[in-house]
Amino acid sequence: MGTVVSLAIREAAATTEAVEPASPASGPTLDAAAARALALLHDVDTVFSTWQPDSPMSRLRRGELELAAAPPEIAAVLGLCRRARAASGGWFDPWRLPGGVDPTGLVKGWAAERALAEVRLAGAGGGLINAGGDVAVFGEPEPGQRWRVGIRDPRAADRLLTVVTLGGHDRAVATSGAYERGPHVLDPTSGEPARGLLAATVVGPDLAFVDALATGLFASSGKALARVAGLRGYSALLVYDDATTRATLGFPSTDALGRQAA
Amino acid sequence: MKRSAVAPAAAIVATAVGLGVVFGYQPSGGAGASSLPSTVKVGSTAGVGAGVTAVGTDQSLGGGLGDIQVRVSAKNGKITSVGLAKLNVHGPQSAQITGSVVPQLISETMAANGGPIQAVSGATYTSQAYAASLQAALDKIAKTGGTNAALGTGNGNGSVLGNQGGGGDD
Repeated sequence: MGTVVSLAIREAAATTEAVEPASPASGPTLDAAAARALALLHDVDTVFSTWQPDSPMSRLRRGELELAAAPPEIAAVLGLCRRARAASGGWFDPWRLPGGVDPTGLVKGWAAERALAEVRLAGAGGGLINAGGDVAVFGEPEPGQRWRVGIRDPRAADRLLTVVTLGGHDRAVATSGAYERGPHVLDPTSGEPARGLLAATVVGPDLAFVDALATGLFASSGKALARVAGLRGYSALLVYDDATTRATLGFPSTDALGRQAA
Repeated sequence: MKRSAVAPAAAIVATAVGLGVVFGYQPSGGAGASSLPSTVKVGSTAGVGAGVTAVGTDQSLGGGLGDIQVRVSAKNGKITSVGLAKLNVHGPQSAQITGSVVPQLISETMAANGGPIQAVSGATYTSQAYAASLQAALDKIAKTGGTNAALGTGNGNGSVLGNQGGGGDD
């Protein structure tokens, strides 16, 4: 199954010309940037797909391709995966998955960030990318407004558990959950599907890491919460099987959510 | 080859416009997993003045799960309603898909017109078939009423926009 990615772009407002570094980008410029962003996602998919047998990533996993001979993005992503593994206390571990190293848990967020950068650098006033529910933003949705992202209630797809307000360093949010695709996140210590949580959401400055940490938190059944809370700039929300919630103090929502210092 | 499947984005306007692409991911059941990319654009019914309703194509949910067909009405450049002309779902996930996933997609589509929430975190992947049918309906509307045709390509997957409204806090 593919992951659906959507991109929302707002032109820079003409009235803010004085504070914009360059002339506000308009339709054709942003159209071209959006096309580049989409092309980039397809290119990343071509390189990293683990279910297309001929992709460089698949060939690397089978030992048919040396890392040094692979597209350089693979080494870059695996380097990020190593850092994310350390940051998660080992709970996000692409090397402990069946079938060989699988960076899928990080590469979606990484690709989305790169795609969003295309429209940011083209001069848009604001933008949001939503890669299957993993979201990153820049700028403002409307002048003077802040981006607000609903966190889906894992028990009901048409309900929101809470809403996070993004801005400043809080510019990416990802949720790992067992709903809809069923249990699919493996506990790296047991090799079995992780149990105990319905969903884990992480907010932070970069979607690649946020995506990986949400996966790691879910894989840990919540045990990595203190670890994530200790990372500068990151915050998290857990929803347990019994629907109770627990959030770190910095989680950017105004709801209580069982908030506590982890 | 992949690139050629990416339609050029037309008419990105000052308000948020959804663009989509299907990003390859682990297949969940083998059958139907081979279809890959396409782009879809929604929110581009700006040329439509009088009210128009269109029904999208009948899209398979894949894996023998069933099919879906989306109906869209638009007026003055705004989607005024989204409904289902058809939804058949079989299998163990049917209650979840009919009861929660599809309603969420509909509310996302409606909120794309300008809701207070710009996105929802928490994955849905059933959205492909919905999006493809939605796109077909939007294409019909655009043909009827204006020049800002929504774009659809190739093999029929697509995207929904990044918006959703509604939903109560817990």
